[in-house]
Amino acid sequence: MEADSRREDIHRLGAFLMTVCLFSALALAFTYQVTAPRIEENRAEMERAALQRVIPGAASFEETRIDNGVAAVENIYSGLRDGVTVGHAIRAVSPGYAGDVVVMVGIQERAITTVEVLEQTETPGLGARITEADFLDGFSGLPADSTAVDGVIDSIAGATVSTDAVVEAVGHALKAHENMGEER
Amino acid sequence: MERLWSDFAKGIKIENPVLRLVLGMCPALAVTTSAINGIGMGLATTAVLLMSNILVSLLRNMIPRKIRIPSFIVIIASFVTIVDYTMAALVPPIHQALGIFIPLIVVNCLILGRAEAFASKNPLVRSVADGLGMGVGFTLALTVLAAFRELLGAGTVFGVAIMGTTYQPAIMMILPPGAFLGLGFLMGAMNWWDRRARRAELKARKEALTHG
Amino acid sequence: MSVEENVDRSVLTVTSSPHLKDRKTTQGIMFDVVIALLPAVAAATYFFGVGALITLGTCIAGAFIAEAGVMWARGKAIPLADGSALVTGLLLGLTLPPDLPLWVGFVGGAFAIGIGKAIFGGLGLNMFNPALVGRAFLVASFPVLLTTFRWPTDSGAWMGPEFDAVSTATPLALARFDEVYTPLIELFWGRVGGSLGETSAIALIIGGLYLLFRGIINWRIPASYIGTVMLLAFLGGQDPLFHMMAGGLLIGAFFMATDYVTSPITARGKILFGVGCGLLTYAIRTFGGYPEGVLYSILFMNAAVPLIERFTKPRVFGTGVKANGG
Repeated sequence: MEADSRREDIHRLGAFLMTVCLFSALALAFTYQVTAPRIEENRAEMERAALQRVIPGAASFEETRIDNGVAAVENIYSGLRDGVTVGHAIRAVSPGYAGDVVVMVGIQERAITTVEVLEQTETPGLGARITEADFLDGFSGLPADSTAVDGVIDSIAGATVSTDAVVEAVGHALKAHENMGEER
Repeated sequence: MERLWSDFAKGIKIENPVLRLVLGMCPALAVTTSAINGIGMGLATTAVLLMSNILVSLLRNMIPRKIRIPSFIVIIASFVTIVDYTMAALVPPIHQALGIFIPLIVVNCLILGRAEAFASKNPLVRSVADGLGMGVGFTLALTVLAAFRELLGAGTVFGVAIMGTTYQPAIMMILPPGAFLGLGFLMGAMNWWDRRARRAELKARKEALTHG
Repeated sequence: MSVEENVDRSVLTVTSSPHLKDRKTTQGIMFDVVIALLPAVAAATYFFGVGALITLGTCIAGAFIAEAGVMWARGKAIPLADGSALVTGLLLGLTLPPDLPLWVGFVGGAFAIGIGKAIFGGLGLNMFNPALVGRAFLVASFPVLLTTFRWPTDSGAWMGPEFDAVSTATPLALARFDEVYTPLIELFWGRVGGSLGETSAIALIIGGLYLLFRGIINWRIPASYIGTVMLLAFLGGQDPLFHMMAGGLLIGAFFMATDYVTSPITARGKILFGVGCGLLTYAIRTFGGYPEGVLYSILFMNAAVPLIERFTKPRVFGTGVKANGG
């Protein structure tokens, strides 16, 4: 008797919990349906804005799928204008003081246009100053060959590791750009 | 009506979730590095708290006692995910700044605590008042703490420079130790304020006795 | 009339222990510590110019004003006379680099007393060495200012920082990151970059010996602390003398780890405390992200003091370990 009622109880409770989960799933599915396009749009918009900043001359962008032989390089984009490639944007990563530092390097006419820090978790007020224009402007205009950044960038005081991470990531990007070679 | 008001107002001072109940410490310490983050986190938590209080209160006579905790958790987790998606769609910068702490609202014991201690035992309207009051109290505490830390640690409040250009920000205040220091100061100030009010009340009562 | 008023108070006044009084007083001890620090202050002034005295002064001023403010807020008499704020300010100042902006020392001194000491209830109740709390706050808050060192002015001229003010690294940083070892003789006299009071080994040794001789500090903590670091350096194939004289080990071992309030009172506890500090210091210097680890190792071991005392508590006479579980 006792065991029977307990079993019944379990079935009843299980059924209730399942109902709760079912409604929850429905609500989430609905929310996802409504918000997903908007979220995707935001993401694409942010990416486009970053690309536009590093390749100012381009009107549209597409991702180039070339094996560039550098593991730290995540994506390479080509900036196009009137069907002609006017520059490249290379997304590269290097470990910083408190996590990975992700940069986007713009290359146009064999020179670096701008470097942007896309993601970083460095110490606020110290390592996080790698996102400031004062520091990043030091890269602009350097020639796009893989040794160009060695030893020409001044470290941010007290944030050598973070500085080195950016320099290294930019170096990776430049190396990948070289490796692309004639395929450009 | 008076009871509704007290259901609402207790969350702001006498049972303030952060400064009195000491609930929700994880977001209170982790995201309060700038005033805008504090207010964003506070509002997101308030939204989840309000919705979960409403639903739990409505279902309070249907949910079997034995599985009330898992039921609450499923309800809370669903609302957190809804808020997460909605914020990603509507306010991407704040969503990005708060990062992992939005999904982590699920484990904020404030929300489960109010579901268990209040909403599951009280009718809808009172639960709404409770949820709103607790939410506002939480948001206020987080915003004040975050503004204090941002002011000392970066020299700004809501991104507006306050301290002038010669101010050298004390970076520690926006690092983790600053969170503990700031919270300690805020709790101390709250206790001081409270004790003063209570003393004044006692004095007034004594005077009323001697003169009456 | 109540009963109490008929009682002769001089006979029946009840106070809590301790009832036995030693000739040593807090003022006396603090006075001796200040005397023991004078050689280091003199060395700092000789090598870094009068600016060193100004930095020390701002730290002491910050400590005094915070102490006075806290006591005023709590409605108590101002006990500046016990000299502990003076010692805290002075010690803090000696751990700071030369040529800091004046307000930095002041803020550090105020933080050391306000947060490091007063918040816990005042002298005797603080968990952490106040001077080190002040330094930890400054390092975390203004890392760039606190890691900008310079070599001493040449010939010890009484000049301002505009002469020879080439920013440089400390001997430990040079050894760690550039594998450049500063000659021991320079470390011994103190003609190296570093914080005001940590550079001159001879000045600190004189001060430390004075404290030992006067019975102000016990030999156990400094000996076990310095001994552990030197032993580990020897085992690690590095120069033990270099590890002893470079950085803040001597000032830390003699003047900070020995703080009565924040170190163990038991004899075995003192040894354990010193060894712990030594292990951590060597570990941070060798494997950590910073070239120097004296600050954090002492603070860390401060936190471990209640635990250490618990494990080294002497047996009360008459109680014993029960044999055979009986």
